[in-house]
Amino acid sequence: MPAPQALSLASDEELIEEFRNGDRERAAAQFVRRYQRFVYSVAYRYLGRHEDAQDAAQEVFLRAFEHLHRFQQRSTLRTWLYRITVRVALSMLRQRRRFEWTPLSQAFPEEGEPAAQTSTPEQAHERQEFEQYFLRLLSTLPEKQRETFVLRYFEGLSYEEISQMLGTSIGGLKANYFLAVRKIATALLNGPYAEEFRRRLPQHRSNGAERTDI
Amino acid sequence: MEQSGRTYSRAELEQLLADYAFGQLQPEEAQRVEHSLELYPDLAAEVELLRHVFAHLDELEPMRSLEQRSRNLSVQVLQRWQQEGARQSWRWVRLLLPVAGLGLLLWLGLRPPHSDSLGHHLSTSETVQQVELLPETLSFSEGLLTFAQWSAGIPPVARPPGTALPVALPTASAADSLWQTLLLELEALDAEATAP
Repeated sequence: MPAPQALSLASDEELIEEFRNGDRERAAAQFVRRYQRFVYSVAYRYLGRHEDAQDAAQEVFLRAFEHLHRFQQRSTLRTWLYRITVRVALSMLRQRRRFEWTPLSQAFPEEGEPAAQTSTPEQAHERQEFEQYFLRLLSTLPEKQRETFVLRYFEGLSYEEISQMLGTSIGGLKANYFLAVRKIATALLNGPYAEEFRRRLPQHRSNGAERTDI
Repeated sequence: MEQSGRTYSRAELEQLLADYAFGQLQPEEAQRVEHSLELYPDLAAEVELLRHVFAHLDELEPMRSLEQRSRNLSVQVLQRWQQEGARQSWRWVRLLLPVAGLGLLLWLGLRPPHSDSLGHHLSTSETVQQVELLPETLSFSEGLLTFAQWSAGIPPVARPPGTALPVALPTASAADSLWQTLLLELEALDAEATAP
């Protein structure tokens, strides 16, 4: 008995081909599942609100569906989606600023976080607070440093790919990455969660100094 | 970069430090960084510090909620996509409606006067003694005027000889001819009202 057709399309090229000439819905679903976290994450970093990130991510995929059949593959799908996401997010930010003005550093409101099933409500709350703090910390970095750090550290992208997305040289990206890592580490060691972070340090580092600058 | 040497300069090393600390370098490159760090103990200590700080950051998983929150995105996107697709097909109908309305308006305005109730109404008017025979078909401007009169409930007026509407005004634009026609109509109404 033949095995049912696999729902997973191996490469982006296969996915685009399926979207153009095969089962469009299946390809579309696969396409969204493959990039939903990435698109959502980029949108959230720009917009700072989960509802806005949801709206933006949906808009990004709808625009992508509209143009995917004409996609030339001169860049990767991820790079293409990144550009669409930034465009949509910036346009939403402009619209939002017509009605209200919120600095990005204060743009992360208290929000209900889906609690992890393995943690207690207190742990979930602490985790949520730390996430808000960390996102605020990220938003204080210059944009290129923030984007380079997140794309490299959290998304695990290559410098070549990030270079295509941000239009920065690879040498510049490496410098940005290092600066961002250094600033984040310094902030974590001197911010409200400093005690927790210092506790993990090797003994000779955590003793004595009130402030740690890397 | 010093491609031939075994060690990196301090500036080169700093660029590679974060990738080295997080294990994102190729083995050969990592080995070369290790050799270079022997020359710069402060940078070696920094690598150690970065590893500890970021190991704890990973445990706290500050970006984990993004994974959870984006999980159902595909369902929402596909629903909206289908809805938008359905809306796209209705968009043609919405575009066609005003065009159809305008077409109907023109058709009503350009119809021969005797072919319907409007034409009948015009031909049986009893407001003047001398009735001029209306042309078989109306010009564009006359058609519009007749339709406007009919819509506004103004009784049509037959003109005495000599004041008949020109059937065609070749030099005037449609708007001008409509305006002239309106003026003639008003004059005729005025004459009727002042007649003994």
